Parts: sequence; C-alpha cells; structure tokens
Amino acid sequence: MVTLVSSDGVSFNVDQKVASRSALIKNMMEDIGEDAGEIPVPNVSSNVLKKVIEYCTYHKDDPLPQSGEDEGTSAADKKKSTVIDDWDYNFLQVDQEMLFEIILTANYLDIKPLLDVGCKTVANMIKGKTPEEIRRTFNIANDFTPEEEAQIRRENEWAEDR
Amino acid sequence: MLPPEIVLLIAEELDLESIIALSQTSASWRRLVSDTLFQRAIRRSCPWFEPQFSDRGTWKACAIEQVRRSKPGVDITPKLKTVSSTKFHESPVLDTSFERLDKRKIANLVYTSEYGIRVDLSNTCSQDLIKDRDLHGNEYGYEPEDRYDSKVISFPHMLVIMAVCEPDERPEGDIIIKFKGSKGLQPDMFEKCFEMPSILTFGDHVFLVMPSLFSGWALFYLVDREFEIVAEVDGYNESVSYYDGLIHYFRGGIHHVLQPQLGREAVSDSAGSGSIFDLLFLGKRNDHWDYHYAVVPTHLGTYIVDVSRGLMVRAVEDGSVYRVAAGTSGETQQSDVSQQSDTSQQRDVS
Repeated sequence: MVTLVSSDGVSFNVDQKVASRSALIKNMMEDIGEDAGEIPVPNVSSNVLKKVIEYCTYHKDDPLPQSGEDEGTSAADKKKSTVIDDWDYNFLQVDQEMLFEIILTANYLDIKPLLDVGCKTVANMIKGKTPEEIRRTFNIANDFTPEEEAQIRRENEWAEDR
Repeated sequence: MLPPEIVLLIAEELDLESIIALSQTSASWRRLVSDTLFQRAIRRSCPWFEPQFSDRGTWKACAIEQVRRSKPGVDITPKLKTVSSTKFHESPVLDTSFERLDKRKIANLVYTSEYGIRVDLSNTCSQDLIKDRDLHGNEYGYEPEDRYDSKVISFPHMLVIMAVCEPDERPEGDIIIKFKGSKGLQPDMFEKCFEMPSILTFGDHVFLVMPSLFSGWALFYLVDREFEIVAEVDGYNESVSYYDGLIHYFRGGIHHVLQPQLGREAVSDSAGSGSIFDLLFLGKRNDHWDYHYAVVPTHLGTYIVDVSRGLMVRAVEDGSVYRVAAGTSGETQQSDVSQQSDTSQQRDVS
C-alpha cells in the first residue's frame, strides 16, 4: 500500500498495483523502495485525485503501455481506433472543468491511457461543431478584437457565401 | 485553459475543419492553435498541400483552402489563360527523356543507381529486355520508342525502375521500387503492370499514375512506403501536374482538376472541369518532370501549361524535350505549328 496525499491534504491508501498505473509514481516507488510511505500529489485536489484513483483501480490489470514508444509515427498508430470503451466513456461524463482537471492530472502523473481517452473525449466534443457551438460547449467567451473578427470573417468567406 | 502540449494531443484527433473552428472561438484558443498544429493535421489528410508548393504563406492558409474547396458547389478548377512567350516569362525545358535500363549498369542483375541505391532485378522482367538487347544490340541502330522501353527514374531517396517485358508489344511490365537505406537487395515494392505507370514528384511527395487494364487510371500517393489510392478516373490522361493542393490532368485538351484526401474514399473524375479548347487527342504522355508544368497536345499544336500561374503558351518539341516557342504571341495570332514541328524533327541521328 502507498498513501497519496492531495493538494488539500486528503490521504488515499491505494494498492501499489493501482498506483503503478501512474508512470511517475511507479518510478518514484522504484527509486524510494517498498516503504515509500506518503507520496504528496501537490497539483491535484482530492475530488480529482479520487476520480483518477477510480480509473486506475478499474484498469489495474490492463497491460502497461510500452514506454518510449514514439506516438503517431507509424501508419498503424495513425490508424489507431478513435473508439472509447463504454466504461471510460461513462467515467468521463463529467463537467468540463473536471474533464480538463482529469486530463491535466493524467498528464502530470503520466497515465498515458487516461490522457489519451481524455483528449479523445474533448476532441469528440469539438468535432463537427461551429466556433459558436464550441464556445457554448466549453463556456468560452468570445474575446476577439475587431481586427481579429475581421480576420476570421476573411477566413470564413466561403462559409458565409453559401 | 489547457497547456499547449495537451491542445496538441487533442488536435491530433481532429479533422482540418474542426481545428479551424477551434482557432476561431477565442483569442487564447487562437494562439494555442498554432501553425504547427495545422501542419500536423495536413500531414494526416493532404500532406502534399505544403506552403512551399503553393502561393500560401502558412499551413493554416493551406488547411482553410483545402476545407473551402471541399464544400459542395465550389469550382476548384483555376482558369487557364493563353499568353505570348514574352508574357509567359519563364522558359522551362521539359525533358521527357529518361535513363534507360542499360546493361552496363547491371552486374549479376543488380542495378546500382547514381545515388548508390542497389536493387536485384532477377525476379523481374528486366531479363527479357536485356536478352532482347543482346539479340539486337543498340549498335545496330535498334532504338525502341521511349514509351516502349524500360525506364530508370532515380531520386536520392528512392529508385524507380519500370521494366518493360516485350519492348515491341504494348508497354506491359513491372514497376520496381527500392528506397534508400532499405536492407538487402530485394525490391521494396514490386508490381506487375499491364500499362506502364508515370510518377509525379515534388519535395518528398510521390504520386503514382497507374493506368488500369480496362479504361482509366488511378492515382496513388506514397505514405510510409506504401501506395495509398487517392483518385480513380475514367479515360486516359495526357499529362499530370500538381500545384497548391490540386492535381491537374489533361485529357483531349481539356483541363481537369482533382482534390484528393488521404483516409477518404478515392475521389473520382471531378465535376468542375474547364475547357481549354474542344480538341482532338494527339496522344502524348509525360513521365516525370517539373511538377507544376504540363505538356498538352491540342489540334493547334502543343502547349506548355504552368498550373501554378494558370498560364499556357505554345511549345516546341525537340526530340523529347519541350520548350516555350520563341516569339509566339497570345491566342489571337495563328502561328505556324507545322513549320515548327518540321524543324524540330531535324535532329542529330548520328
């Protein structure tokens, strides 16, 4: 067992196997040894850390992704499926702020499959939408200057003609 | 707000149109969606659409144009204008001759290119040709016509050999490709062809124009050492060239344009085609030259077309080399085509 401590001071006792889903924590445990004790996770709040541990627990028996593999270089990689499995899909049905926090935590803790599925989820929320629809989805404020607005109108001349 | 490295990962999952939309949501997203993101997205969908082979300054501009043209009802065929040789400015020398498969360069059926790429031709029909050469010998003045002879097209990064089985018959044979740095002597690619293909290259990009046995031809693009089909077209073509994201081809003097995309169904003959003239087919096919020029036979003579500027000018042929015909004016004046072709035939036979 290792203890992960969130930024707001909440401790989570987790199996080493679960904690090892994070390449960062796995390396840390290998460096420090068995009695790692408490590992602080200073950038991550308890509600997000709890979610991420939930993911790692569900996926604790998955084969670990190959380390050092260059992403997206071979043809097979490029053609990799963009399908998200059901459990992951439901797991990521959270508000947009939580989704971004999960992605940031997966990046920070180096949990590649979670990072991938998080990015795919965001991409699916963007695909096929107009800028206005994307703004609504992600609560983005349109803060363009008049110059930028004019520039974008020029980029979109084709769309407005039709 | 997500950091740039995460935005990059998200953009990897998006098509060009979605990336453009994302860049138009807010000032901060506009900054985050960098030109590098567009470059990577173009590599996935239309890698040939590089700024350096277009008039566009950025990858983003290429992406926007690619999306614009893919909308229904958009006419993608640029208009061509006939100009005089002085207004054409450039004087391209379009050499359609090629290196022949010469016995002296083949030791134990291994051919070595000028860039040091070596390939074993023993399982190909190259042997037939060499036997034929032994039988007739070039010294007897036996010189097969270009399109019925085996060709070598040599690049620093790859070697293409088009070996013709029976030089006297229709051009049927093998296409053999070997890449620089690939192990061993066996070809990396070896295809039987019932008609001889042509290739179109610029930068790192290689398009293969493969005539089909029945009618028409297919266009393939080389990705990760494999040819992916991107277009299928009915009928013949006389000349294929490229500029600014578009494949231009000419058939019966008529200008056609294709906008292919990787990972999509192959595009078929484009609906938007503009006529140069309504003309007869005089039957010439190019093999490999400067990517944005085309040589187009018409009943008024042969023209050189520069698809990058939308200009066409009268051409003269000297052997298999085409040049701009000097002193020709624009479309109004009828120049004497037959006289020019007469002089071009007086070439050195010795």
